[in-house]
Amino acid sequence: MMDELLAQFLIEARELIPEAVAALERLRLEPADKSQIDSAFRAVHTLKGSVALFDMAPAGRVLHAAEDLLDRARGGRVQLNAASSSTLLACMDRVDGWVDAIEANGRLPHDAGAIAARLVRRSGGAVENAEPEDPIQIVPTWVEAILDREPNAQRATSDMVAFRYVPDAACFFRGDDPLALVAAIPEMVVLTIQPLSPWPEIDVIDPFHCNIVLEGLSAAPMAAVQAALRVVGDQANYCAVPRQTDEISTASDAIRTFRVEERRIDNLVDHVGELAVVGNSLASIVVDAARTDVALAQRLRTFQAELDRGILAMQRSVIAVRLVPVGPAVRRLPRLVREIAEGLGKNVVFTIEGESTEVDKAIADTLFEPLLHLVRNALDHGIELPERRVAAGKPAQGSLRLRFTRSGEQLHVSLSDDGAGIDSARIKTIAIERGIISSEASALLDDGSATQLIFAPGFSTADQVTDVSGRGVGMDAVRRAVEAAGGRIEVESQVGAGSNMMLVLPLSAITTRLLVVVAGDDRYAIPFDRIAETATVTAGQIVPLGGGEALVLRNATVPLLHLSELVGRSRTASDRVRLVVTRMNTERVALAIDAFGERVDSMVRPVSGLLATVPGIAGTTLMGNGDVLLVLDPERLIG
Amino acid sequence: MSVRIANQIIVLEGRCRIEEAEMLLGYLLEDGDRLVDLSGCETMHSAVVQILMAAKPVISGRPIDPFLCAHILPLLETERSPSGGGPL
Repeated sequence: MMDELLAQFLIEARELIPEAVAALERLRLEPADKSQIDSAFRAVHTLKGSVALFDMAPAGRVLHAAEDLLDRARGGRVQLNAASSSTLLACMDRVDGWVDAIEANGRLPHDAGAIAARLVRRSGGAVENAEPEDPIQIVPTWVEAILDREPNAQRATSDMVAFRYVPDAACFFRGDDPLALVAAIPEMVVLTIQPLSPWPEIDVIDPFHCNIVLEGLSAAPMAAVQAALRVVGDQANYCAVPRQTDEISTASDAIRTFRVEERRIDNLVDHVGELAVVGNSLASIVVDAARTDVALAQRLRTFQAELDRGILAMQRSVIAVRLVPVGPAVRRLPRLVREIAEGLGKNVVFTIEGESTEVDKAIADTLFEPLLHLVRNALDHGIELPERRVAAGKPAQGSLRLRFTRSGEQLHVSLSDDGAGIDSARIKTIAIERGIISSEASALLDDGSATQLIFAPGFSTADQVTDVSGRGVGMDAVRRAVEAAGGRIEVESQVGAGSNMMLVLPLSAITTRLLVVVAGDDRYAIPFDRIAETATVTAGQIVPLGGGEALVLRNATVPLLHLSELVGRSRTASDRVRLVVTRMNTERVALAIDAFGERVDSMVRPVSGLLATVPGIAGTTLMGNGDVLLVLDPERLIG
Repeated sequence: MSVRIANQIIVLEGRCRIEEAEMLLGYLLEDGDRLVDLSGCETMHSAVVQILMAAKPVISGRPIDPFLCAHILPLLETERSPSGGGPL
């Protein structure tokens, strides 16, 4: 129970903290922005409530101080400035760190109390002219329920009044008709009537016993609503619902969402994949049926087409379900950038653009580690110390920009800095020193290609291993992580002007079920959905036919091709021939292979470069042991 | 008479006052599957609405009064009600 509560809290905290941080970042630039103050206040206030449930009292004290300061700013009793916004930001960064600590160790670090006291003092210092605070207005739950029922976004355009009228049970005897009273309320937007206690069976119901609650929302002024219910004023409650600012209305108009465990979605993906395989096997049944009953085959074909459409639609929906915005995956970066930059004595503005770009959850999850490494690298080796920047004629404050964009089926992630850039001559020297490349080969490399050497295994440009980026993992680890996710990484750099790291990743990371086959000395993978059946026959069953070979398989003659020959190798002779039967249009074609390998669920990466021009190659896939296999498209291979 | 039976359908017409609630309940108790036609209904007392909400008969027809149409009819229409809503 506690664990569930904690898990819920972690999710919530990691939504609220970035919300507050984003608002505070903007307040640093524009300290009087009322909507940002509100937004930060709301996030801090909500978070404070949740924090109280866990053993993290220092976080509660820090949040209370931050909330207090923001509330005063809201009420106009104190003016925020860049310094107080920075203090608030420091509060949020600290709480963010503590949330991580709670997750990792179940408790706050020992110095939490002392740090909290310091932060509370800092926040308190800015509110010397303290006045007694106003009680915070809390929207009653009955109002929230009514607002939930409001179907349109009318609240965005006008102030409203929510009312709740609970007539007493004997009101009919006094001549009251609650509905008639409510009908007199002008500009009704929502009206609901619910039983006060559940309806009894109608054979025992007392028609003169009033058992209803009338609730609603009117766009009329409060006085007009109260006037309509004047005679029953003691049985009614009212609540003003102020017009919503744009910002809040976006939140309330947002599509309703609920959380689903990732595992359940993955199950769904698996089941849809299995269904696709079943759907594919229907194709061969249709062909078989056509031999004996044309009419039945026709009906089956229609049915098969519908099934295929349904499966395709399901696959698309499932892919869509797994899409998440990239923002939350990198939400910790801004804090880490501030911490790392501070540690290095560098002054850096970090911006993130395109946080709402949607990608597959699995891709989003793989982003953080490589990006953190790239960010560290940029802060450590890219952006110069302030005095050095000024000497080079640049602003003292460096800029680091992370940008997500979508391009077709790909996610482009670019991390650019305006630092020193990468000196390709130095890269070459180091690469030669470390035996990554010969000096002859290096002479042939242009600057752009030389720069890519930073991704070579064993390469590290750090002359001295620093605390920040020298951890024994180089850029090759980043490249490996990106490639494992089906992507690639490129670097562009200009000495003196900065560098740009570009990650290209697939938007979707749905795995494909593959069968590994052996032909000669090579292993290949074939997508399961391209395989109609597999079989093992004796060499004697194979007969020459025309210029080629064929065999009889389940009462039909099937042409036979050798996979080794299709990929440009010579075939190996064997008594037992293993077959993968695939489909070429509607005809079955058997591919002879030497052995069946394992079945794997793996991501198929589209091929690029030279391989893309080879017909019959659907992509490549990375095996668990690090081998890269070509994924074949049998149909195009045969054609 | 603003509540009557016609062809086994319970018809609510004109101004349906509190007295009608008891009669409506009586008709529904006799046969819970009877349709209730609201197409001639101008006003409805809370007690009448209450009976309709508790008994959940199939509703047919849209009341004349716009307030009833907009705010009360949606509360009464069950999944059994014909979607067209015209009088039978």
